[in-house]
Amino acid sequence: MERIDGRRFDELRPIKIEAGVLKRADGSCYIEWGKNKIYAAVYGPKEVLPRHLERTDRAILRCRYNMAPFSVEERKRPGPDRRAVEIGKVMAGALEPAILMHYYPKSMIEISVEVIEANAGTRCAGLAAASVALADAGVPMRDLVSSCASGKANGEIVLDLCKEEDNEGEADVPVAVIPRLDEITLLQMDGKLTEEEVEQAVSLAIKGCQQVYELQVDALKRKYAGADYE
Amino acid sequence: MLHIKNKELAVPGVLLAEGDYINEDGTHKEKGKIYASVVGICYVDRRRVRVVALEGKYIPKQGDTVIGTIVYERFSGWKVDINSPYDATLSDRDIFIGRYDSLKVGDLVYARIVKVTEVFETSLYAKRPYGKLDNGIVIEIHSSRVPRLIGRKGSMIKLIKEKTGSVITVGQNGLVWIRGGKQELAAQACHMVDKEAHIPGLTDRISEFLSR
Repeated sequence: MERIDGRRFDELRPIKIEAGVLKRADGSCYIEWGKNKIYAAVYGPKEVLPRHLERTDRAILRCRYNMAPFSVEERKRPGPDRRAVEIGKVMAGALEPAILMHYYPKSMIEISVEVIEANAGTRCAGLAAASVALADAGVPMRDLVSSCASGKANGEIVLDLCKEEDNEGEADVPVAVIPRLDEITLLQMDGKLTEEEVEQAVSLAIKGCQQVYELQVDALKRKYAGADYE
Repeated sequence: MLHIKNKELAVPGVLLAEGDYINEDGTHKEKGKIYASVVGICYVDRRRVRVVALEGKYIPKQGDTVIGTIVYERFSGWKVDINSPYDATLSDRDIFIGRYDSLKVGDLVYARIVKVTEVFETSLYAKRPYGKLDNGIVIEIHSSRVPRLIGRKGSMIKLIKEKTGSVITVGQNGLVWIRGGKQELAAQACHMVDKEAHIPGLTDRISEFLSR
């Protein structure tokens, strides 16, 4: 069955990733995922503020997700809301297992994800961008984190829902994985799915993540093309 | 078994080697396999594998010489910002201060790192030939580009010093102190090294830039 934007059931929207776009951040990334436009910036490792969050054995990770007021059709009231705080938290949780936190005790890594234009799947796109930004900041990691959503629209399990499918559809399942370790670090679901459908959706999303991973690696390699030392 | 060529670009999570290899900086070992943990250039020396990071903060290492800024004064020493996530401590026993001189917040010191604990409590030593840096300007380059700025046996820094007539001190933490001569020109040359470090033929371009 044809999807609303003419994609196959297992086809991602066009993705464009660029690393190192912001000068003042330690690491940054810009991602265009379909009609989503997202900037991710990484600061740190730096000294911990507020001080009581400091861990003597490892670094801490803080993640902020923010949507611009003009990112959606109807103006979003600026400032953090319930949804933004939740997404920030799950993103931090999804990235932390991939980062070698014990390399930098008593320090803090801050990630800021800024959604300029939203069109469904912003947390996955933001996560993909954030992990490229982390690598760009030189933060030691086990692997990049890739992320992709799947869901159910028009009674069918499909990969990477667009806005119309997300609004009209039955369910949305964002997934983040560490491809090398084959570990799922983020799994959420809204809507209703049967047990088989969940499994189907997750495995479809993981396949999507692998495609995203290739693009992330490519973006990092592109930034340093022709690099040659000593 | 080696999975990557020498001087190849590595990104985090890439399998570099497995089996009888030793992992060094910029890599980590899991289940006997060595993976890259940062974006950088991979170097293989016999059985040792390391990745030189292209980005990232300076992490204090024993024996490094650094340039720091005094940020806080204590009873018997100072807290020094060494352009890293971790501050360093400089005891007043470890620096020579003349009778009419003093060390205040905001002053610059050139010092050697004598000790780094496992939680990165860092102590400095700043007696001769190290010490306070007066006047001059300080610029920042990336710490991994410092070897490039110094060049082979100091060739690059010597070139800049000769052409500009400045006194230049380079800290391993990426801070460069320049005094006298054509300061601005020297600073521009250092920034150029920082920006174009990965493009071959750098020394020639710097030489050309300085004689312009």
